[in-house]
Amino acid sequence: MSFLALTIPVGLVLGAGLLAFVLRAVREGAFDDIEGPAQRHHLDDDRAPEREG
Amino acid sequence: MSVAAPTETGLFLEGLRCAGCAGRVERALRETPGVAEARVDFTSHRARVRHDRALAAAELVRRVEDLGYSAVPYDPNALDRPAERGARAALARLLVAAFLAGNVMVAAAALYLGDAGGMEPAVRRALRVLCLALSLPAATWCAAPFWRGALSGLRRREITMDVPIVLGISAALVGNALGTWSESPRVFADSAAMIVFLILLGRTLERGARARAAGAVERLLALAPRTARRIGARGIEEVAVADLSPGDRLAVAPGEAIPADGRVVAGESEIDASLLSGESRPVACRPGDRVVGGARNLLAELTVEVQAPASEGTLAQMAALLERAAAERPPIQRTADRVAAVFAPAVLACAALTAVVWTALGAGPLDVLLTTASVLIVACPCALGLAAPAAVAAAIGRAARLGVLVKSGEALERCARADRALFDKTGTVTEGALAVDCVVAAADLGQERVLTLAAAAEGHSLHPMAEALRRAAEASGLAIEDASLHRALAGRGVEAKVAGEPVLVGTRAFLSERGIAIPETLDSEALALAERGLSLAWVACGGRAAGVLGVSDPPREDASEAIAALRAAGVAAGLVSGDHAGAAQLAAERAGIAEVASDVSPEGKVARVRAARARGEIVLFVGDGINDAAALAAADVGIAMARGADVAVHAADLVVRSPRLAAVADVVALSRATLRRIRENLALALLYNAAAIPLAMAGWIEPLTAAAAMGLSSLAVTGNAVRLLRWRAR
Repeated sequence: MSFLALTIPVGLVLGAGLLAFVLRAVREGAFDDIEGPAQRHHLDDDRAPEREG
Repeated sequence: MSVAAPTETGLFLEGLRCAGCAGRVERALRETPGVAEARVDFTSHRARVRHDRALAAAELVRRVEDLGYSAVPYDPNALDRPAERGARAALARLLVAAFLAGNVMVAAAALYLGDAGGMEPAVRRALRVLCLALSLPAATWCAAPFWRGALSGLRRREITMDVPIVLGISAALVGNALGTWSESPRVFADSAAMIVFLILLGRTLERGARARAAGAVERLLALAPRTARRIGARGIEEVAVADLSPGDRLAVAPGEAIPADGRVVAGESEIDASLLSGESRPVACRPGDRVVGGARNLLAELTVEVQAPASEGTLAQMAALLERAAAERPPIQRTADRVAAVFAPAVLACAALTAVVWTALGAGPLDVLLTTASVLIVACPCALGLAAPAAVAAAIGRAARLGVLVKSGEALERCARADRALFDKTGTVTEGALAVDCVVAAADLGQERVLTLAAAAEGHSLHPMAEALRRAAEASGLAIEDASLHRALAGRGVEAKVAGEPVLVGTRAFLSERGIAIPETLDSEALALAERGLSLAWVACGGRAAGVLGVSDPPREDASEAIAALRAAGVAAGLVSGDHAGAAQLAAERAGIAEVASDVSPEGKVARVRAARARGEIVLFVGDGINDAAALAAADVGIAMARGADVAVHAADLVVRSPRLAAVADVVALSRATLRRIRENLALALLYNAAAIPLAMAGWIEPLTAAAAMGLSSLAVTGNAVRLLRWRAR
């Protein structure tokens, strides 16, 4: 059972690290718009800009 | 301050159908000279643009409008931040709770397995302490909104639903601590954190549905005037309405809405101010008269001096009114809320009863605590509270994608019960754009000559008749001469000089008034046109009658489809028009409406709506016109076709932004589906609580199961509601 003394703290630290990373992304607004970016990149690239005249 | 200093402008976008539209708008904004950065958020239909101060917001609006969407500038600092921050904080709480609950669960699983495998007491104790340590932040920081809700409720001497939730979480936590302390063989270590996580998960899903509803209200505000033309020292410049300040002078062209409350300083015209006064007929105005922001200038160019900034004007107050209306809860939900209000104290009573009875039966303190926690958690009528709002929010979101803005959930509920729909004709059943059907010329003139004369006299006016003549002349390949001394006379017609000759276009009475004799042949031909249901415009040139034009207003493409769909849904359709019998009959026939009333005044429309309501019918009134504001307000549900005067929007409960009349039939069907979902949800929620509370009191449900059941009941209700987002007509 002594392996638990190692695996649980390591798991917690790893998990907390990931959590901190995700929380930073939340604060920076990464999840504010979760639909737009998926469409954005291919529209930026493959269509010529529509210009009048 | 440098001119190149960057500033930020927000835009509400209208007409985005897919994320691809968002990408197009974003690219156009980025390519605008002076723009440093542009981001379009498809979810909230907003754009944020960072640009040079020298670039006017109006230019950004023009760029978006060039693509066929519309945009309204707003101050991003005033609007975005609180809502966005709230959503981010909620997401952060959910993620932290997920992390804590996940780890607690792993530790708890190890404890369960340890029971079977013979775990050393020291490891066992360490794991339990770990569970407690991880549960503590979950029960406090992650659950902070519930604590705040419970405390602020108690301060108002109200027991809100947050109280049982908070007590349940606390009981689970105390049970956890007691179990750790007494080294009880029972494991409830994971309850507190999991309860918090499950409840937060339910709330987050609910928030998603609500965000869509909020978006619909914001887009409604977009109906206000967008930009103004300010008269500055260097001529006229386009500015955002939000940038106007008292004392600014604005140029307002005929057909435009007046951007802000103010006073006329030059020009004479008629305005439609039914927005403020409820008076639906146009009001004459001259220098010195006060005009209301949002009122529509009908006849001639006006110069208006701004008296109040747009943010304090009548229109802003109206916007606040609409927001309140949207926040209002439908009656069916108010019943559910009343049930929920007595529910919270009742749950506390049940919990107390459980504790007393279990203690009396000789249960240990740990068992009493955990059973009580189960009752507190499982009894939460969250599902009951969500039943209607979730469905209404989903329906509002779905309706917005059909091109219909729903101003109140209550209207949606009434809409579902509708059994009669009264339609205005012009601009509602019909396109609202006149078209010239035929031209009759006096003996010595050609038809083309009559058309060119009339088109020239009407000039560049925005009047529908002028537009019809221009289109007809252009379609026949005729060049329109320039006219001088153009003058519009309200209700009669126009006069102008074309190639040196005085030309009149207007009613027969207008020509007679000017002493023009009408030949009998022309009169009889005109009578034949009128009998076909066409409206007439008489033309005179050089003091003699030149001819007569037969004009009609063709029905919307999908008018008959819309009427048939309504009839199939058991809603009788009627046409109530201010137009003459011939025109009304013609439009009704083309649209398939059997019941027609013509020559109805605005008051007459109101009377008809009231009469139908007095018979016990639930009446929809669908209109767009300046004349319809009163009837829209008098009906059970007023539906405005927003292409017309913006003012009709004020009185309406639903605003149709799409050019499809069938959207009206769609929204009736959608509202019925919504009511069905609400009823299902209420039944589901009541059934859940009725079944779960006795089971929990009997001790058959453990706290964790209780939290899962509560979460599941909320999810079931929300999920059932969200089905409305995928709703399709028929």
